[in-house]
Amino acid sequence: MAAEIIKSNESLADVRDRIETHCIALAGNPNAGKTTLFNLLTGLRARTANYPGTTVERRVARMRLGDHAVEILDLPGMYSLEAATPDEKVAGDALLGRLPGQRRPDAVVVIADATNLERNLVLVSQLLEHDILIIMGLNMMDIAERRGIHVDAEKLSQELGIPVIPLVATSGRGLEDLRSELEKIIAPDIRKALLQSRRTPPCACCAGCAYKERFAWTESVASRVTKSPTVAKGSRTDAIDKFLTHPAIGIASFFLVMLAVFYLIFQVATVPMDLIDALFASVGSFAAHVLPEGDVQSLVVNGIIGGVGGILVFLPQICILFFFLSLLEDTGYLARAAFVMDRLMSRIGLPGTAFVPLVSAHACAIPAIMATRVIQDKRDRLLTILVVPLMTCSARIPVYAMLTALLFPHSPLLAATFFTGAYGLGVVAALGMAFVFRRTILPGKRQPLVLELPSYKLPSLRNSLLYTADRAWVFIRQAGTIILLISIGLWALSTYPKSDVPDDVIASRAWAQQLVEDGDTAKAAEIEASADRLAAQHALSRSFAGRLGHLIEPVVRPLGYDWQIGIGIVSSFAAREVIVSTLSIVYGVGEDTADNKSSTLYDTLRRATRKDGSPVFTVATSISLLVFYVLAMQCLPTQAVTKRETNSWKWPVFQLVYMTILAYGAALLVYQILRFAGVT
Amino acid sequence: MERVEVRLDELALHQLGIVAEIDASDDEMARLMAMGVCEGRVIELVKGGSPMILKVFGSRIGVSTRLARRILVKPCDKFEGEIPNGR
Repeated sequence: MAAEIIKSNESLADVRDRIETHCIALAGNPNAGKTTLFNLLTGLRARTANYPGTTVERRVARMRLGDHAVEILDLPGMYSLEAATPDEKVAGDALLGRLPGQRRPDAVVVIADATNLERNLVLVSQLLEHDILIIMGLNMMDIAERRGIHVDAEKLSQELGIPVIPLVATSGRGLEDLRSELEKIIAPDIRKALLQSRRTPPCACCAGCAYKERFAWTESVASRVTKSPTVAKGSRTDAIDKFLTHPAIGIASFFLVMLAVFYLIFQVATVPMDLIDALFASVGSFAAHVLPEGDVQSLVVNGIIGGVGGILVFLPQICILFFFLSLLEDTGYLARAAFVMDRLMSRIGLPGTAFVPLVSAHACAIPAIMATRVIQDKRDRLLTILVVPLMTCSARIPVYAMLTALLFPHSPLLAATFFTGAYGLGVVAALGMAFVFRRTILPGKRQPLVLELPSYKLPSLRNSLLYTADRAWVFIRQAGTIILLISIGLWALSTYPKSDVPDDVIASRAWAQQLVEDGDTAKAAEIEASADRLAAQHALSRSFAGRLGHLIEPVVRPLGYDWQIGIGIVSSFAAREVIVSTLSIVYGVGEDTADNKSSTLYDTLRRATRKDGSPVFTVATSISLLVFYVLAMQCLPTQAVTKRETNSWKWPVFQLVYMTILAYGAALLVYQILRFAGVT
Repeated sequence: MERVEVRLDELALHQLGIVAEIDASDDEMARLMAMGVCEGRVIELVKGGSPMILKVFGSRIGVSTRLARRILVKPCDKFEGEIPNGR
């Protein structure tokens, strides 16, 4: 008997914990205030993961209730145990103990919206038919009272035969009563008594409309326990909706809201991003000081510190985006936005809810992909994730800036036009590929829109902050580990194999040494810097990354590139903006010049010539490179997040493949057409 | 003489109706039914067009016209039947 109880890899303490910990689930309709209550009960103790084998999120928190250890499980919102969406299916299965890897809850607290009792009671009526302990939390009592709706909780409790506790989750009213009720039901003898006292609704199964009988029952129960005023009060929500769901005004206001959020992400995020950059730069130089010269130092400084910094630098954008999205959702606005955008988006085959991720991708694709959670249909969600990276993100901006400056040094208007055109190309490509994928690899009937538009309310800052912290932590933990590994891998590729220092560098260094002894330190520093640049250039060219550049040269020649640009493209597959610094090394400009005086970098690049004397950065080459960077998948962090959100490596690989083909094809076409047209 | 039952998308603005018949031949209806749109329930058209907005049990639901076409309702007057107001 004992052998059955104790699992093979559990310690005795784990066993005791498992046996003694009670699992309490929170269930209820979407928008009933479940998550607010969960946050109230658990605060920062919650952890987010996925239900095993799914992409559905699972929020769990451990806490103490009286003498007992309890695990509180926040289930996805559901209207009914009969699932209509994948989220509802997982929630229902988890509740009834049918989900492998998830322990059956000992009790469930159903959070019901007091202003909509009839619908909220459907779930309760279904749960009453199963052998599970239920407590009902009657939430939003304040809103009900404000509207003149009086619900008699005592009477409801008698009708259902289960404890009913009035709550106002946003203010904490009723929380203590709920806690004490929960403590009571954990005791085993109470459990039996409670199960016996409940009343099962008549007619569990019905022919025809499956919900007809159920709703008839909920309506009758609700009518007995609720007193509503006979005169309808004017509704604020309806008044606001007149504008926000109007086809033209609604879309216009949505664009304005997104512009504002987007602007905030761009502007406000730069301050912490610069801080993080500076912090890691100083940590890096400290490490460089402390560690002896050599590979370990390089690994720590460039690979690890650089890698970690490269992960954390995304956090400000992620946090700002999720904070505002959470606020907007809490007010109820986001549902209107999805409603209004649905008509336009469905022409392409995307749902209205895909609009927010697509727009936020203009800041960064990573939070945008994480934000696709709001899309209910699995196929629609996958479709959006696949095309989001085509939108121009902020990392492409340095590349666009460099190329348009190379192209049009004396015409800012033309440069701006091409800049905007690049953005436009991204949007067109994304929408076009969505259209194509919808008809080819992800076919299926478009799910019709069924979307609840909750009443407008003031958002909860606390909820949004907790949500943001949660998202940020998930990002660091899951995407972060992959990004770190990749940074280290790339470092290895550009460092190894080592090559001997070329003779002219040795000679230069000797000369610099001589100058120092002679007292001419300024000139010595100059020679030293120049020698360092030559050494870096040489080392990079002979590393694996360099060899890859040489290797792909015949492949990229038809696009107008040479092996040096080839190295730039290869290194960009980690992060796009790396090409600017890579090109500066490859063409021997020097990193300090690249940072401070970009005009010097651009001048040098403009003058760069091939072996035969022809310039490298011709108009055709530059435009072709621009097109390539608009469309290519060059962001391993994005792939890491795609893997996490789709639970499979298949899709990130597919993203890489299709976008590379798209970028190559488009750049090839553009270059050849330009050459054909006589543009050099 | 007007038909007794009309399709949901043919309902007049702010008109109330009792759901008479639903073509629930596939899964698409399931979610809408769980939210309250099923036989015998009172619904109100709050905004027409595509997609439209209904009110049922005091909550608003945005529905695509494609689904609405498969629901037949019997129009009724505002003060008829047990329609709880104040929502």
